[in-house]
Amino acid sequence: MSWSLAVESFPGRRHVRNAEPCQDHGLVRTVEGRLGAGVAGAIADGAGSARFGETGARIAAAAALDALAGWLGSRRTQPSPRGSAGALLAAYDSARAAVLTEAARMNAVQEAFATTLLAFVATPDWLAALQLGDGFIVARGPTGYELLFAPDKGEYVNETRFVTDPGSRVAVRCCFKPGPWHFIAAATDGLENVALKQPDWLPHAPFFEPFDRFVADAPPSDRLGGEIKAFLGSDRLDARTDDDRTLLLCGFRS
Amino acid sequence: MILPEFVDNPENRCPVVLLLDVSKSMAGDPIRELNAGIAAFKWHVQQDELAALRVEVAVIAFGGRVEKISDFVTVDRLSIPPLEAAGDTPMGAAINLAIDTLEARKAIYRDGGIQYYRPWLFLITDGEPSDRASFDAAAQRLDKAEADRRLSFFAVGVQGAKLESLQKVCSSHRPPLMLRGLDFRALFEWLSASVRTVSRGRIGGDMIQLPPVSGWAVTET
Repeated sequence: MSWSLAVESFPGRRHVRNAEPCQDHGLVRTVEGRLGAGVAGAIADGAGSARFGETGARIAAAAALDALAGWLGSRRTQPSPRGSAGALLAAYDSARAAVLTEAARMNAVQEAFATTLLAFVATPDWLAALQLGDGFIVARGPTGYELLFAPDKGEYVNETRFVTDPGSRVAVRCCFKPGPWHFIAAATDGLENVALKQPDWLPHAPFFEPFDRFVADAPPSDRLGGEIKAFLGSDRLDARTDDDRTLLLCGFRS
Repeated sequence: MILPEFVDNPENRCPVVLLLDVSKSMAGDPIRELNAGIAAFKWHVQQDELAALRVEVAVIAFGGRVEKISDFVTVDRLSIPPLEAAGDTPMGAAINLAIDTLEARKAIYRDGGIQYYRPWLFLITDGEPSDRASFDAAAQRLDKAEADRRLSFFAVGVQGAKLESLQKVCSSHRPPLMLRGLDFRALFEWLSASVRTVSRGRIGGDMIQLPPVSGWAVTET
């Protein structure tokens, strides 16, 4: 009984051309505790227009992951939906606080660290997740592939919410879903157009199935990572988007 | 109904309306330079593979009457006959048509499942509106549209323009700019660079960083 997991980011052509760093950041790890095989993941997409977007993404993802992994690792009983919502918001608060602290330390305005944040924590029996801004988390559960939250776009495609926005906490979306969940994928907005179908943002099964099958074979994480990397850097994808993209995958094999 | 153009090109769209003053005071060098500027704009946007798919331009000209020279098309399909200067300056009616055209386009995007950027309405004029009553109402409508984030409005005055009228239609955080001389080419180069930036970037709130306007605008000393 274990999770196979990997996460990779690939810089978009625009950033490569301008010698800018990839402003996406993704982290995932297993969590051992009394509740059995757990996993926690976080991805963040630093705003291209923000000077330190990359730093904001790195800090937000790390802080959210630490908070959620710490929460799951220390639990003795299965969480309630309400208890998980508290833990998710606490993880959001610590991510935002970490970003604002770094902004203060560097004596920079907080907007310069603008980043989205998606994070989740799960066991095969349940899944809890939060999202601020765009990007997506899709999981395969009892009824097939399910999108946890519609990308937060507002009317315009290029306007989203960031951790650094004033009052962003009220816009954070949280969920707790009983499973079983044996496949979880998360990605930044660079993959929305290929993984979700318009106009209703339904998960595009042909996108997820090959990854789902591959990850179910429990490949070592470097092989899984290699597979993701090859996909993210493929010409086919490069033709569709010039944005940074990050893909995180978790598969559970009982 | 999904238009064939959205099947061929499902990219996000960045709609831009060029609202151009072609009243008689623009005759001679100004209208010639304006025509050259539009051609330069088209060329510059086309150099950018992704912007060429995303930027859609509509052109509305006002001089004596208001005319929609081109409805929204990607720049490769943009074909503008040389504009000629004549008549008075029905700016109010032109602004109303521009807003209507934009809102209609947004509805078409939504029907077609196409995502889009906040539209730009770009006004270039050298004169005073001749349709005063209609202009005042249009200015209010424009102000509200900008406040509701339905569009981003930019106004550029050409030599001789009365900035007071332009100020009336501009939101306080984006005042009108005066074109230096008749450097329409530099203006349209900036516009193409700006829409290229917008059409690939992502912003939160009103955080929009455009190239400096110092290449074409009169900056206060």
